[in-house]
Amino acid sequence: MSIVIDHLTFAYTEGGKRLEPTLRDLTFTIEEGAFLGIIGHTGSGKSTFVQHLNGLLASEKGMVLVDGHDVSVKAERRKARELVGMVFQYPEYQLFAETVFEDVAFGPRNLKLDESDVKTRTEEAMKLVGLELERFSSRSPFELSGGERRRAAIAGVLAMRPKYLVLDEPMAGLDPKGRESILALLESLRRDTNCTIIMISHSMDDIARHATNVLVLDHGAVSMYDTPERVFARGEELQRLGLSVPTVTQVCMEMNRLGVPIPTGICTRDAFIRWFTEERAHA
Amino acid sequence: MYTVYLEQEDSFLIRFEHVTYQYENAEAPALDDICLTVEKGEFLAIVGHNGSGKSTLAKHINGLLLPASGTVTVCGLDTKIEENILPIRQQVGMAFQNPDNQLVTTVVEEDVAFGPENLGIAPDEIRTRVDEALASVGMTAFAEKAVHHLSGGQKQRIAIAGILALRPEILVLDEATAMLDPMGRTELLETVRSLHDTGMTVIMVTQYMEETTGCDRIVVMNRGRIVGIGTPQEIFSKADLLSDSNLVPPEAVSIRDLLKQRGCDLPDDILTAKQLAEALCRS
Repeated sequence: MSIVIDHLTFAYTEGGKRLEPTLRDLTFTIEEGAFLGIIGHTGSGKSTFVQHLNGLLASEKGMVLVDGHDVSVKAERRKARELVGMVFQYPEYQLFAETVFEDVAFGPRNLKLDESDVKTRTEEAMKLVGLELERFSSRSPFELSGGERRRAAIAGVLAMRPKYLVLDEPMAGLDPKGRESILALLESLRRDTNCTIIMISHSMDDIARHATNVLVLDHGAVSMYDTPERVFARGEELQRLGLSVPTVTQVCMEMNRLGVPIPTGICTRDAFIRWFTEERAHA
Repeated sequence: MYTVYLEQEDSFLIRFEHVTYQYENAEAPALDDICLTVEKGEFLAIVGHNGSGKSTLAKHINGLLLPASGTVTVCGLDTKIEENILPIRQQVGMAFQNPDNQLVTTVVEEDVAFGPENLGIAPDEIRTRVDEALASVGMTAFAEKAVHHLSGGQKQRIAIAGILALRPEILVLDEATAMLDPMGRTELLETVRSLHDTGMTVIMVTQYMEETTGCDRIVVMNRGRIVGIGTPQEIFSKADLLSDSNLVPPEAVSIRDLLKQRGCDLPDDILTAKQLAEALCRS
């Protein structure tokens, strides 16, 4: 199963006038189990694109199929929305209930499940994001720290048991440890529930370390869609698109410039240290 | 004795003496016995986890918040004395996180002129100040452009130009890069660095350790207290201090330390990808 994006084109309208397309003829497939990182400068179409994955925005041309369900067809959109969970930027601003438990339970309750099923799903979601039941269930979401609030908001989406989890800059505004805890959560979700992760992020270090595939959007079109190693091997092209590259890639590019040849495609700490130790063993 | 004291007073632009502050209904103080002095022309970064008190500290510099106990003195003026607030705010310009909340008019140069106009400054003088301010943030070409067509980074630079038009002595940035993409962040940091080079005192609150590598000193906050203060080299060599404060060093520093653990001889003052690449090429 997979999400198939087929010749997707979309333009916003303003005062009845069609603006320049925000998405231009996107065609690619997101495989189940992948961790897709989406990068692109501001205005490249990243957020507009992900809103097509559960039919929040409707394409004017082309199709989005989630496990075969066409999101532009009303009857199938419902199914697609069950499959695709959406975490927007600063999702904690949408917390509203009196307790963390009630907030996380809101989605499952809307599905008209039995109270015992609601409880199971809520507890499961809170456990997944690392909010201990005893400590957090009856607390107000507004008493939590920034990182805890963010995790509570994500738990509300996870309680719907999505197969595909879409996150729009989930680490924005968090401190370094908060950012690490969100990334660790995404990794454990993939490992334990086989959830597919689709994440927009500006942090190239995080994308290089965690993503299995990277999509580069430029002016609404696919500029690159490949493994992180192959995408970041094209560092100079990325910089021309106004993007940065992982720290390790910056080190490699600079060393190459200074005349030390380094194989392309090294973009994580681990890969760099592996290369370095092997190189020294040879010397 | 008395003369020595006066000389000290002169060289410190900002002085926090045993400052404590507690938000209403909070369990613990947001600032707990803060003592800190900032010299004229210094570039100071304040880092710490979410809720560590770093923004609260920044808001004391221009009297947005007043100490519950202790004293904050800015340019020799005590923030607790009401008549001092206006002169202090003319000396302390403050930029915040969200670029969209800081601009008030629709055209760039009108926005930059807004502050000086409110102070009743003569039109000729305003023209000069606006031109100078736009030039210092590299936005002269945008003077007549509509504000809403600018990128986040450009909006933040216009917000800073608006501050500069008031000719302040001190610029305080409260997570001003948090909502920007990497390009916007780089633009803003370059602008701030060039302002510092021309003598501006800069206080920068940030969540991104990479942004602090060019500062004179870093203040590390944890639970309302200052737990570390020193040059970037000093702070980022204290792994325990960072980890206890829920922070992680810049990626280049982490890679440096991993290489050192594997027996690679690298100097401790490496903080950036470029410095790391140069050192590796020499070794």
